[in-house]
Amino acid sequence: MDSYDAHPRTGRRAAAPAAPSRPRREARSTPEPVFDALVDPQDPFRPSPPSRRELREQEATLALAERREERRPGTMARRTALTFAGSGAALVGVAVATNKAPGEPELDEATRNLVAKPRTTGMPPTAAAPAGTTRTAKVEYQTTAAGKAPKPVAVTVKQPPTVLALTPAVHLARRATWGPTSASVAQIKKMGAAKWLEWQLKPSRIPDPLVAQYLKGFDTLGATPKQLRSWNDARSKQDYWYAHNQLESAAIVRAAWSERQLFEVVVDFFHSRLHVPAHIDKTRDFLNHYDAAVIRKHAFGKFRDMLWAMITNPAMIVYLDNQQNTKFGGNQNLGRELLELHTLGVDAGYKQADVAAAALLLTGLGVDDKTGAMVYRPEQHQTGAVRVFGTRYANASAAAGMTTVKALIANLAKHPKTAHYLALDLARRFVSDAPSKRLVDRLAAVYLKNDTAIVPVLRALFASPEFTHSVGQKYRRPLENAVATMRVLGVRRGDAGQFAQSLGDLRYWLEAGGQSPLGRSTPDGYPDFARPWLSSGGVLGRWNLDMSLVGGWRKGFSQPNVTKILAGATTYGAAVDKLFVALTFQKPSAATRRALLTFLGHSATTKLSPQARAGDYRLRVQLPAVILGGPQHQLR
Amino acid sequence: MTRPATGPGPRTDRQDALVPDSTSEAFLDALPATTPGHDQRPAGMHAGCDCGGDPVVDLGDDDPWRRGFTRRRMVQGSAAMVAALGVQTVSTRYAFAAAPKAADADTVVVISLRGGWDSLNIVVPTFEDRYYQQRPNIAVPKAAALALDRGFGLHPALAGLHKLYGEGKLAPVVAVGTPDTTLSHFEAMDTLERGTARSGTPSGWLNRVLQARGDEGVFSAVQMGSSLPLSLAGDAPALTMSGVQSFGLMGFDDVKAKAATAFASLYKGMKHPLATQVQDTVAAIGKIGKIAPTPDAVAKTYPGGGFGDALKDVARLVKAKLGMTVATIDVGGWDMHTNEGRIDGGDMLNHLKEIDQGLSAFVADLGAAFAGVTVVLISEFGRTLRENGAVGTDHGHGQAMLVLGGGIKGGNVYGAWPGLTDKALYTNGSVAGRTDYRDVLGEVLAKRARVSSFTKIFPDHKPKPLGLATAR
Repeated sequence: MDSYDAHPRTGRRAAAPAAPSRPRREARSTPEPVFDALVDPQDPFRPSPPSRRELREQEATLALAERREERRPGTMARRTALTFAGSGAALVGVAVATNKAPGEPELDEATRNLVAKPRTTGMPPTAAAPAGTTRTAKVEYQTTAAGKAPKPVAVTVKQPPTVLALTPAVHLARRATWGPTSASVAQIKKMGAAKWLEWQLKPSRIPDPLVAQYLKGFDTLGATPKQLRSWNDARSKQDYWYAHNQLESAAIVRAAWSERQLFEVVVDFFHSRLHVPAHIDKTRDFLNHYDAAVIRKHAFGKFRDMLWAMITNPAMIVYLDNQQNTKFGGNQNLGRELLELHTLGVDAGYKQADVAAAALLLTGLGVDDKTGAMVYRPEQHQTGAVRVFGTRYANASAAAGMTTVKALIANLAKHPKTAHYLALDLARRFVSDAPSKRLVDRLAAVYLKNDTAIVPVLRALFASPEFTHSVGQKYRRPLENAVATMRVLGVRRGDAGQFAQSLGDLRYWLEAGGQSPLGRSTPDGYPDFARPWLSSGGVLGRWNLDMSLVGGWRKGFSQPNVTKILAGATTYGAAVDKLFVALTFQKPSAATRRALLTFLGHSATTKLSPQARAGDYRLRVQLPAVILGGPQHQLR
Repeated sequence: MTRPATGPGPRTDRQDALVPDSTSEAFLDALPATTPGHDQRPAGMHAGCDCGGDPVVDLGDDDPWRRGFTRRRMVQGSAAMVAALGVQTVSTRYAFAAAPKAADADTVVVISLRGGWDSLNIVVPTFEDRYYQQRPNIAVPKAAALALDRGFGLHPALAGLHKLYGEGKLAPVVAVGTPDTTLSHFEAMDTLERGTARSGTPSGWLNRVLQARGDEGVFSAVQMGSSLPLSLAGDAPALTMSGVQSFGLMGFDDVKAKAATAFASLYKGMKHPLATQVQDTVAAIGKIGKIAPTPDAVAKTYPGGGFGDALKDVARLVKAKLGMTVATIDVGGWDMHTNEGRIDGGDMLNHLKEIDQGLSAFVADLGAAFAGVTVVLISEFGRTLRENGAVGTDHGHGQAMLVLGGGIKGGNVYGAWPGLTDKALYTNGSVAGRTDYRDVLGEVLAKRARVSSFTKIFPDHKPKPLGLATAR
């Protein structure tokens, strides 16, 4: 019993704290000697309790160890043999990655070069692989036992088996937009991927009429704290969360109907990356401004500038308690998350002293109670030289405190660990849950070479062979599924008077499914890998949501025009084909086609009358819902 | 109460966002058969609530609590039921975690009383003069209290529970504390459900119980309601449903089985964890559909409303032997700043009546199966000793927990009693915590659910058994 009671890192027995330990993100009511840590080896924060990541890491290691034990001898050999039966040396990398557990040695460079010859061309295999027919023995997806995202793998560039067709334009649309539409796919094909990307990378030149139309009346987007505070009294009576409700609904509107799709995807990414949650009281007056002035303003700019905007924005200051971070009593929340979540990443190797030092540099950075604007209070700033992860800051004068913070941000932004962490996150978003280390290294280098600019990283990412060969490697999260469904069905605003309510209902469902826009309640943002989103309730929930959208149950959204898709189909077989292609951009396999016809209760050749085409509920509503619930829509 | 113009509104307890706006299509059968909508519930226990420590704004009818104030936090489940704190008479959420392994464990039913229950009027210290001095209007008179051990007494509305106490099935634990010091509903619930004072911990203690036990499978974590309570959040898989009756496909009318088959066949042969989830989901829909309904005569013994329905569903699942290890039920409406009332009327009386009737029906319904069930009642905190000017009480610290079950050594009152002198009271004038709530949970888990290590479940507290449960 209690065999794993030791501290995972230090091996010490975890001692029960004498007094209830303070909640980590809690504003501290009494001054505490935060900064003693810098000079005093008796750092009150040492030994730090294991962070949630450490705990999870430990769990993952334990679970993997257990699984390794369970693994029957010969498994590895069998898998290797199977992959060799495939096509050539490159597949060895797949087998290795399949069996590699954290903690096992990485392949050395030479071996990697041997086994992992990345294709240098950005061209994808064009033939749609008959998925699942030849290589079903291999895993399609790397998963982890615990909640931690899969680590980057040393693996070759090779398209893993997938049930998704490998059409490049569709693949790009699945990743660089909130979900392909026939129009977007046609546009990519017409312009070519590279040109389309460049077009998307300049969003200000892309007209966005639907969003402009639908967001008319959303008057709180970008509103400053001061503005909101002047409206609160009057409007809270109607809706206490009026500003956040607008902002969250706007997030759906923009995702679903904006022409600036890549921009909206990247905005969502950075909202998760530098996350401030909606619907918590602390951020009520601040988030709408944060969205505009930090995330949207800099999503295609330089990360350094975004970080600076973030650290000087009242939303983050208030959310992570930097109001309480003064020389009279510190609060390390913002300092810690700045290193752990916003820049270096938890695995970077910094110490508690670095957190304390970063927090010290942030003392005095607060918010004006009345206006809600950021304010720097030199009289609260703790001066004195400190080191943050190897960089020394003289921090000699309180008057120059903001200059020091700016230097801190600039140094953190351009740190190679930050580059890696951001590159890994981007690759995880756009490529796969466990992107290759090689790709991450490359993207990190691009980021550093371009002075923390984000767009060059995106260019490199979409041009990479790793991207090309990652078809079907992501599982749509609840919000992504909902928006992709709306897009592929061509859903528009329906009854304008009910639009806001329907958006609210949709958010309500998404909340139940665990991913309402901006809703993650902790500062780490939504996880961007499959495991946390896999649950039976989640599966059933998205089936039901897709049904509600196909069925046009919310009157604020238009009823999808399925009859139009079916036009010209004279048999049920043709109808199934037409629907499947329209919704998934690929033809159904023979087995899938059979299953769908069985559901309809018709044979492929059964004649389809025009009346049935327009009125057959099972064909017009239920069948699309079934197709959308399938892997060709749920994966991307 | 009007619905906010631009938000999903306060319908925090129903998964009805998917219900068609119009009933013109034949979807009515898909309507979740759950509790009445928020709007239909009685309002009115809430004026003047300073819920949470945030700046107090008396909004009266525009009280944010009525408007899904903490809606967002429900995502992570923390305050899944917070919106129900003061407004609703009863709001229920219930979660099930079930596992094939559960034959070696009780079904542990955790009932969370949301809002901070005034346990001083539930497990009454009738021997404390100070209690009667500080509560001139709302105290439970000694003569009316149902006698317990050590001079305590149960509220007279709890006659059914008192009977269970007499049978040795109910164990009250007094002066229970949590690490929370904020007296904010959110923070207190967060702390309580994380099972640790470390606020960065993203998973809940119940989920870690499932992980520690290795409970996985179709029913390894089934949650009823639209969102997971934080206690069940985490890596162990979760099955969500708003009720046994309504766990299923919507909009498929008479072809639900066909649709489920179709979904399953679309994923056939795929090697992906999603494919496993899909097969599990389809299997769960099928299994749930086959569970025997509660006979009418038995169903009638449950109180109407969400709490009764939830207990009824829990009993059904226990009796169906799906191997359920954990079920949770949430009952809102305990934030009684006003109209807590006296033993002859008021919100406390009504709430306790429902609790008493529900649990009595539950125990009777289970019959012999009750031997393998343990029920724990806990709130996020207790309330002030002193009554306020509105026939109510305000947020406090220490509370009483109630534990009942086949394996509980009932008939005794557990937990050290700190007394009610000024010196003994918690800083804001409420009962001090002498027993950590994790001591109670830990003992139940250790003795009734074969949990042997608590270092992950309660990372900063080592549970000390009180001796209130027998080993299974």
